[in-house]
Order: sequence, then structure tokens, then C-alpha cells
Amino acid sequence: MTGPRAPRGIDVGGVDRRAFLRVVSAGVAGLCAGGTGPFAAPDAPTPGRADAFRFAVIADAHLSVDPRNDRAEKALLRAVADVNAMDPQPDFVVFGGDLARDGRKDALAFGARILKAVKAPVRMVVGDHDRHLDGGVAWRALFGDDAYAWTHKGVRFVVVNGVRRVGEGASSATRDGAIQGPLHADDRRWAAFEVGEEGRARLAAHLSGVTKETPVVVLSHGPLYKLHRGWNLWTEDAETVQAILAPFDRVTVVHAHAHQPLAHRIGRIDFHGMLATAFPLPRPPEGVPPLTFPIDRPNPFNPADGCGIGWVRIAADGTADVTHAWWNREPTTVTGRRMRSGGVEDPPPRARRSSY
Amino acid sequence: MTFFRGTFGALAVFATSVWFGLPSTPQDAVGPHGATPIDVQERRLDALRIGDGSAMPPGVDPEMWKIHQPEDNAIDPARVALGRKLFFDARLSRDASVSCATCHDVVRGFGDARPASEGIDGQVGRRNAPPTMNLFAVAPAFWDGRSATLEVQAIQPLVNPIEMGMPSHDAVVAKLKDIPEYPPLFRAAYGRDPNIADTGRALAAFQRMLVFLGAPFDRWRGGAADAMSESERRGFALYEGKARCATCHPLNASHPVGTDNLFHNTGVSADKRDFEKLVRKVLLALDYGNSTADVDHLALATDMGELGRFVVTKRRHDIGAFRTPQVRNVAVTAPYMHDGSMATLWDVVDHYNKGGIDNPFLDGGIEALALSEAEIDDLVAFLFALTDDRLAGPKSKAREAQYERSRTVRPFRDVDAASRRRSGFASRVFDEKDAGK
Ligand code: HEC
Ligand code: HEC
Repeated sequence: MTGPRAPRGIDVGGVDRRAFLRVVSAGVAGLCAGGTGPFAAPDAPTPGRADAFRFAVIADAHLSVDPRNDRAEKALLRAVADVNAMDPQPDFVVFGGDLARDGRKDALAFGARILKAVKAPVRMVVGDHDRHLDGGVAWRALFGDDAYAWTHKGVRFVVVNGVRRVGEGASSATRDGAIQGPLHADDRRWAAFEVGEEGRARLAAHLSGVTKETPVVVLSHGPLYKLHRGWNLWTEDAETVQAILAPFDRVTVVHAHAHQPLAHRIGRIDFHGMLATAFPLPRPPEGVPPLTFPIDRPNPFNPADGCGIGWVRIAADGTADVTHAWWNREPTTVTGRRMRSGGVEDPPPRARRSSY
Repeated sequence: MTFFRGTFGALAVFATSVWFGLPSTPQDAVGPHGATPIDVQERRLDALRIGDGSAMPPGVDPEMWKIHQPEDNAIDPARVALGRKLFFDARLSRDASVSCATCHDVVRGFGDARPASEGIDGQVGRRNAPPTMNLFAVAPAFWDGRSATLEVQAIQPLVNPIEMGMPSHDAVVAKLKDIPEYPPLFRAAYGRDPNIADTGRALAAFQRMLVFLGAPFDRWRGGAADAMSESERRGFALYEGKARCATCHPLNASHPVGTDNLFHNTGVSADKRDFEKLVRKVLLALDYGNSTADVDHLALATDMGELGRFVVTKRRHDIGAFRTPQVRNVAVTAPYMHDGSMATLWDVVDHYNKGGIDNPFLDGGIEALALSEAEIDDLVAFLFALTDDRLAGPKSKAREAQYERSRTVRPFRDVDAASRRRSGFASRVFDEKDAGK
């Protein structure tokens, strides 16, 4: 670890430990903390492998800017404090979509304001709620294009709009106008999510010229596979999207929307559902992928339980270890090794309370 | 630092002036460190008629009692008698001026009626002394739960440099062996010579007998409809309902004293602490030493203790979290909270009513409650109805004093926050010029 710390068990300049404690108590040594954050040790980059790094994920804030219900706002502030306390800092922070509960302009702007406090660069992904009122016009005015890509330390990152509605019509990048409908996820009047023809073309374009050995990370709000149509944990054109990703050796899809950790592997593509900040959702009644680990039922008396943030550590060889940093529990890490071994290696901790 | 000195100075003066003690206490009878003289305390304890250990204390559910009895320390009169003697014995401290009863004063509701306790050489710590009543159902011990059992807890103050100041546990045992009364008592209680583990056991056995569960609330729940006034009954409905107290302070057969024994950040004094800075400081400190004594030192003698449970677990979600205290007999245990920062139960309810003090680690169960003034009075009335009948005298004095103060001084009241006209976090997001938007 970095930072000017003396190794364990060695006196500091002839000062005994008790005396040193007193110095610390007086606030002097408080200045020289490095690499000691509670989020530090297990995920610190391996020395000598500069290309290993991690990025943080915050998702599903569902802000409403209603002073009578400020839970969601407080939760997002907590997430921001968490990522700002990560030591070492993540290379960037992905916001995984659903910043606003119903896509109102003021709520999106309020969220943008909160996210300004994030110290690391922020990358935005659009969510279905963000687009609810106007198909994403206000969101794009604040955050720019909803499909983009960049390369970071040898890893190709591609952001997709995974929450277009089947039959929505023209390109989400150009189309303006309301797609209002029932806000309830379980309402069958909702069309399913899709990346759509244009979205798929942009994804392919963002991957063109990328070698198959290059690790690829796809960031989407919707899952990019099919597990439960009822709650729109479903991507209608999932197979076509996956076909675009299939040629690459190591692909990790990081998605939100499910408000709970999910883990799935199709071919060489790993899929990870991340925690929400606003509220947890129960396990869907069908389609929970087998690599998903059991979790204890969230405590209904503590709205923060079952929520949290996450981060992804990308090793030098492109392996992605995904950590869910719960607000009321021990963090759980789903390693890339576990995913590749079909769930044999690195078993997750057992749940203590019964699940849903 | 300045804050601590300033505030605690002021609070300490205040605390001594609000403490109205027991009618039986002469105003001028004050022992070392401001505690009630031991002979007065012992007489008071006799009058309280706690059991001698030959039978279960009254008012306790036999099943609950059984569950909370450790296998290696079954209650028995020899153990309780030894524990009682140790509890009041100042010779167990370095300069023979401090005993457990200095800070857990029988006459002051088994606390010391001051925000933070004074120990050896007049040193003042950072934490409020919780009452040693009803601890049979409270675990783990200490505000941050750093001791798993009462047995383990009891031997920490002996060697804490700001409490009883003994150089080591061996020194304590040597002293006990030198005092002629003790070896026979230890042999009678545990069948062997004085040693530190049995010292802890005896103190725990004695404290487990300090049960005070005979309150108007218990008689009311037992069927005596008029044991609680209408206001107190309304208060109980709020406690279980709108005010949500019961989520963390459950009062039922399996939680007889009103704690879930879990850790929560309720935002007490959160506006005065820079948690992130303290986290960096404490992790560094723990790297240099995380023995029981080190953690005890950090908790009691430094500002890092404000991190609460975090100091023990180093888990981020434990920042500023403290073990839920019991609500039994709170009438006689002012001031309140881990730092003794609240003088009256009106202050406590004001704090919850506004949704605590905003900070990123605030427990999800803490929300603005929109209680009206009349509801606050009812809820406080109910809290007073949790006082054992044997403490009725000090209870009514405390109620009078707290009521009077609450009519003029309400430092924690924030009606706008309580009714959600203003939300605490907004200032963290908007700067001044946006505030009106
Ligand atoms: C100098 C004052 C002082 C002395 C002396 C002292 N205590 Fe305490 N006691 C405290 C304070 C302050 C706390 C709270 C500390 C904390 O939680 O970090 C406490 C906590 C406790 C608790 C935990 C209660 C709970 O609710 O978790 C017990 C039990 C206890 N003391 C018993 C004793 C015994 C037994 C002795 C004598 C061996 C003793 N104390 C001596 C001040 C004192
Ligand atoms: C989320 C859990 C939670 C809820 C809800 C809660 N409390 Fe507490 N309570 C605590 C914790 C934890 C403390 C100690 C906090 C500290 O000292 O920092 C505490 C402290 C107290 C104290 C001080 C006791 C003492 O000995 O100092 C009283 C009295 C109290 N609560 C009453 C209430 C009432 C009345 C309500 C309902 C309005 C309530 N509590 C709701 C967790 C809770």
C-alpha cells in the first residue's frame, strides 16, 4: 500500500506505541493516511501492474425532488460519499441509469448537481425512468449522447442505451417526444426493452477495429439478456446484441435496473446486475441466473439494507471482479474466476436468513 | 478539541444543576470525583431490595433469564456478594479513589448524571456512563459493543488509564490477594484464589441482579388498565406507531428492556464530526495497535470514539453507529446519548422528530416524524412510565425538572425539518443562491 506508514510492529522514530497513539489522538498523524480506507486493501492495484484498475458503479437513484420523501436523495449522497472515500480512488465512476424517478427535468438536474461532488470522472448511462417523460431529451441535454465508447488502460468501454422500447420508432438519439405510459414495471402495456437497430449498429461501430483479445466492458441500464419479462428484466433483441459481443475473448456487461446483484454467463460474456441506492427489489419470480448468489432478505425496518454501491476491478489480463458494497452488510465479491468456472471457484458466502 | 472542552464544560455545569438526586441524599454528601459517598450508596441499594442471587430477580421471564445466563457463571449468592463488594471497592483503583460505583452511582440511576465520566486524577472521558441496570438482557457491552459479555467488560475499567488506572490485571489480582477479606470470598464463590477472570465474573453476577422492570407500563400491560394515564397510553401508541421507536427499541417478551442490541447511526452530534477525517485517523491508529486496551483507549479518550462501532469492526457502514441503549428507567439516567449531549427526554424526542442529524451513514430507519407538540409530550410521558416503581421518587423530581426546562430550552427542536418543510440534506447539495429555487 502507498502512503508514508511505518510497517506494523516497528516503532515510529523511537516513539513507543502508546505515545504514538497519543500523537495520533492529538491529530498530528491524521494528516498522513494513505491507502488505508475501508475500501482499500483487497482491491488496491497489484504493484507493478499499472494496467490493473477499478471503477465504481452507482445506480438506480430514483430521485423525485419531493421534500416529503428525501430518502432517495440522501441515499445518492451516501453513495457519493462512499466513492469519494475509496482509497485509492477509482479511475472513474459509472452512473448506471435511473437517476430520476419519472424523468422530470428538475429531478435530473438535481441529480447532476449531486453527482458533481464525485471526485473521479463520472460516466453516465441512461435508464428507462430517465427517458420516461420525453424519450431522453432532458437527459441528453444534461449529459450528452447516450451511446459512446472510450478506451481506458487497454480496456474498451462501450455505453449503450439498453432501455429503448420495442416499437418506440425513430432513433433515440434524434427522437424527441413523450413515451409516457404506466410507470409500474410489472405492467404488460409496457413494451419490452431493446437496444434497437440503430443502437446495435452504434455498438458494432464502437467495437470495430478492436482486437478480439482486448477486454471489453459494456455498460447498460437494462440487462442485455432475458430473465423476466414481467419486470422488464428483459432485452428483446438480446441474442442479436450478444452476437455482436461474441467474437471477443473477455466481455463483461455491467447493468443496473434489477436493484440487486445478479450474475450470469452466456458464452464468454459475463453479466453483472448491480445494487441500487434507492431501494432493493425482490428476486424475480423466474429466470434468476444460476451464477447469482443467494442473498438475505433485506430488513424492511431499515430502508438502507439491500442497497449500496459497487465497483469492478479489472486485472491486467482483463478479468473483472465485481464487488457489491452493501450499506448494511459485508461486501460480496463475484470474481471473474468464479464466472469462468461456472460457479465452482470462489464460492460466495451463504445467506443466513431465508431468501424471498 | 475546543468544541469538546467548551461544550462539555457547559454541559457538566448544567448536568450537576439538573440532577435532583434522591430525597434521601443530603446535598453536601459528596465523595471523591463528585460521586455519592459509598455508605450512602450501599444503604440506598439495600433499600432497593435487589435479590441476593438465591432466586431469579422478580419481573424477569424465566426463559429469558435462562437464555442470558452464561454457563460458566451461574448466579449464586456467594458470587453476587463478592461482586457487590468489588463494585463498591475503591481500593481496586490505582489511588484508591475510584470504584465502579463512582461512575455507576446507585443514587444517580446507576450512572453519574454527567455527560462524560470522571475517573482517576480527575480525567474526564468522552462517553456517557450507561446505567448498570437490566444489563442481563443487553449485549454486547459498551456503546460500541467492544466487549462481548459483562464478564469481559467488567475488567476493562480497572486498567483503563482514565478510569481506575491500575497498571495491569496482574496488579489488580495482587492487590486482591493482599486484602485479607478477598481470598476467602473468591474461594467461596468460585472455589479458587483471586484471579482476573473471576473478578469479572463476580462483577457480572452482581450486575445481572440489578433488575428494574416493575414499571407502570408493566402493570398496564399485565392488565391494570389504569396503571398508565391516557397521555402515557397515547405515548405508547406513538412509540409503536407513528414515532417508530419500537423498530430499534422493541419492548416485548423477547426484548424486555427496549433494545434490539444492534448498532445504528442516529446522527447524534453528527454535525460536529468530520467522520471521513476520523476514519483515516483511526485506521492509522489501529494499525499501530488494536488490542483490547488500545480500542478501549481510542473509544474513551479520543475523538475517534465518535466513530462508534467502526472502531471495533472497521466496516464503513458502522461509522457513527452505537448500540441501541435500553429505554427502561431513562427518566433517572439523564443526560442522554453516547456523549451525554441531550439533557432531557424532550431533547431526545426533538432529535428523532427532525429525522436526526443528517450524515451519509444515518440509519435508514431514522426519518422526520412530524410529531406535534402534544404528541411529543405524550411520547415523553410514556418514556417516564417505563420507570420502576422503586425509582418513583427520583422519577417525579426528574420529570418536574425536565418539564420545566423543556418549556424554555429546546436546543434540538426543528419544526421545519420535522414537518419536512426543509430537508436537512439540501444544504449539502445547493449553495446559497440556489436555496430559494
Ligand atoms: C470513570 C468512570 C467509570 C468507572 C470507574 C467505571 N465505569 Fe463502567 N462505564 C463508564 C462509561 C463512560 C461507560 C461507557 C463506555 C463506552 O461505552 O465506551 C461505561 C460502561 C459500562 C458498562 C456497559 C454498559 C452497557 O450498556 O453496555 C458496564 C457493564 C460497566 N460500565 C460496568 C462497570 C464496572 C463493573 C466497573 C468497575 C469495574 C465500571 N463500570 C467502572 C464509566 C465508568
Ligand atoms: C434506528 C434505530 C433507532 C430508532 C428508530 C430510535 N432509536 Fe433511540 N436510540 C438508538 C440508538 C442507536 C441510540 C444511541 C445513539 C447515540 O448515543 O449515538 C438511541 C438512544 C436513545 C435514547 C437515549 C438513552 C440513553 O440512555 O442515553 C433514548 C431515550 C431513545 N433512544 C429513545 C427513542 C425514542 C423515544 C424513539 C422514537 C421516537 C427512538 N429512540 C427511536 C436507536 C434508535
